[in-house]
Amino acid sequence: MNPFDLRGPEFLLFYFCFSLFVIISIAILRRRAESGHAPKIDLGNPYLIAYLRGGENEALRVAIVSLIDRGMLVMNDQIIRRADQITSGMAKNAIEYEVLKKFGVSDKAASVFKDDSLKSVFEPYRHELELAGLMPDSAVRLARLKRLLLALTALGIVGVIKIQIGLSLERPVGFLVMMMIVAMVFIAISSFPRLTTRGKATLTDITNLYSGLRAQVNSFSPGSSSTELAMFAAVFGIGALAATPFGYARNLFPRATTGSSCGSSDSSSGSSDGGSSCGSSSDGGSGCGGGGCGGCGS
Amino acid sequence: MEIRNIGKNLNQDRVGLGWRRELAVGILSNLDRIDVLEVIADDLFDAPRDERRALRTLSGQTTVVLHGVSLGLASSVPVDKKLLEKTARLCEEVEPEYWSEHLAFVRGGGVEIGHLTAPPRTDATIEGAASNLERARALVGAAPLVENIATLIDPPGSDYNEIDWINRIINSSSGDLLLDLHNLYANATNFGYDAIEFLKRLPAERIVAVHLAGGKWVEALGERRLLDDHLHDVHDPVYRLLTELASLTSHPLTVVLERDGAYPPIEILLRQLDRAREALAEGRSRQFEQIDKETA
Repeated sequence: MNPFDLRGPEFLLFYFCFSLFVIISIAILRRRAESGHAPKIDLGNPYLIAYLRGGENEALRVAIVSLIDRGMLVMNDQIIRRADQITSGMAKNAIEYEVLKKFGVSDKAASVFKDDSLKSVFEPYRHELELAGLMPDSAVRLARLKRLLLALTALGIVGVIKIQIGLSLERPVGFLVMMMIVAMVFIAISSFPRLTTRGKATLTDITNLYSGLRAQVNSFSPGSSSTELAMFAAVFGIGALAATPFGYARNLFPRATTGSSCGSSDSSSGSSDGGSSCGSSSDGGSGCGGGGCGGCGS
Repeated sequence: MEIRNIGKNLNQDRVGLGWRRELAVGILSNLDRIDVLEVIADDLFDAPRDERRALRTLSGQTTVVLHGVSLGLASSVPVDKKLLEKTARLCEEVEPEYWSEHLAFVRGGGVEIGHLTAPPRTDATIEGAASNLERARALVGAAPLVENIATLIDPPGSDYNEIDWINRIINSSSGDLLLDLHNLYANATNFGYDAIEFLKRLPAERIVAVHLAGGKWVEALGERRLLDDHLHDVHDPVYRLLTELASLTSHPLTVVLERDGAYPPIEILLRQLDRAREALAEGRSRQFEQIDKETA
């Protein structure tokens, strides 16, 4: 049966199914091309993990909360400034250095997102994650583009042929044009996720490895568990701090509690103030059934 | 599945830590000071696939080994095939460098003891352990390293002492030894024998991995006993045993510090790893001095 012989509604149904087939095929091809085991990366670097999960803005949020907890930044409502006696030279790394430098002058916490000078410090992170295959490098982006063009060509050829047939028979083609546009826009958007399939899987793995932090976060004391706090915020998002002793983070970045990633962020920009918020879940066990091995002799 | 047998392939001693979720931040932030991570296999047997895959990611960061606690190898009862299959699947997924289990029994007559228990040291348990080790090797693809356990009571009905019993099992199987030095120290202390003499009677070439742990003194049956609880820091005599062991073995060792609760700051655990490295180095230099003396 020739699908181009189908009447209007039947062809629209056929085209809908065809679009779904193309979209799913492209997704499967991308997944196959971009999957694989996670290579060695610095799993102890909260800024790298935050950057992987939510991009520059998420890493900046983690940096600010960490610096506040360590007493290097002082917070007054949503206004931040560098603490007295603290210099940017006391920072542990380039991100903290730039954040401390910026807040030498009081400003709103969210102002860091508009400061373009801060963006360059993330270049090494992006490079490292691209090398690890967790974010798309130029080769992966080119492969994605090729697959997209293939999909658009397939959708376009089928759609245009039927439109020509419809126009020659003076039939209405508006719905088909709309369906074509929707399918093409959808496939274009979904073809360029911020992370590779391997990146998404690695993020889920990282969330799993750090799942014990969920049970520990309420026992963290402000000022004395800064490494753990930074890692919790990096892995689970600033939003997950809302019901913890570090709830002030929610006031600083109110929009950060509205998003959700929970280790599977696939958003394309990471540039808004929308962050992540993961509900709590049960903690994983530990060796010998999660308790001590009391006398088990193991 | 490829499980490389360690010891023979290593260039130098390695010192690491038991993987515990509670210690994740400390461990993953200090992988430059931790050579190897030991994961409890049983925690993952029925875990969601994502959780097991995360361990594969961990093994991509550093050397990971698997440690089992529930097979009950030292028993005249055949080890549960389903548990071995789960172990095999986990080894396939995580790709550990080796896997290990205890010379203990954990069930009998359909009853789960819920505890690693020292079996009667008899020919029956020696044969049972050898048979179970062969079964494990066949199903998993590699024999486990077998670990000596601590016990608060001398197993009744025994025909052999602990050292003869272990040696007979080792000699009749392909599994090498994971020597738990705190278990050795605790048993020696509790039953009044010389830990170093015990160490010297073990086949040094078959010891490829070591456990370190801490314990506490308890009252048991009206006597003072050292309990291996994994909740305390490593005792000084255990480091001395490690030095002694390093002076006896010519191949590199993999040493794992076990801690199952009452977690101190990670720096304290890392210092214990450093101390283990020092103990190993001291033993190695003692061995070289001995060789120098003999050649002179």
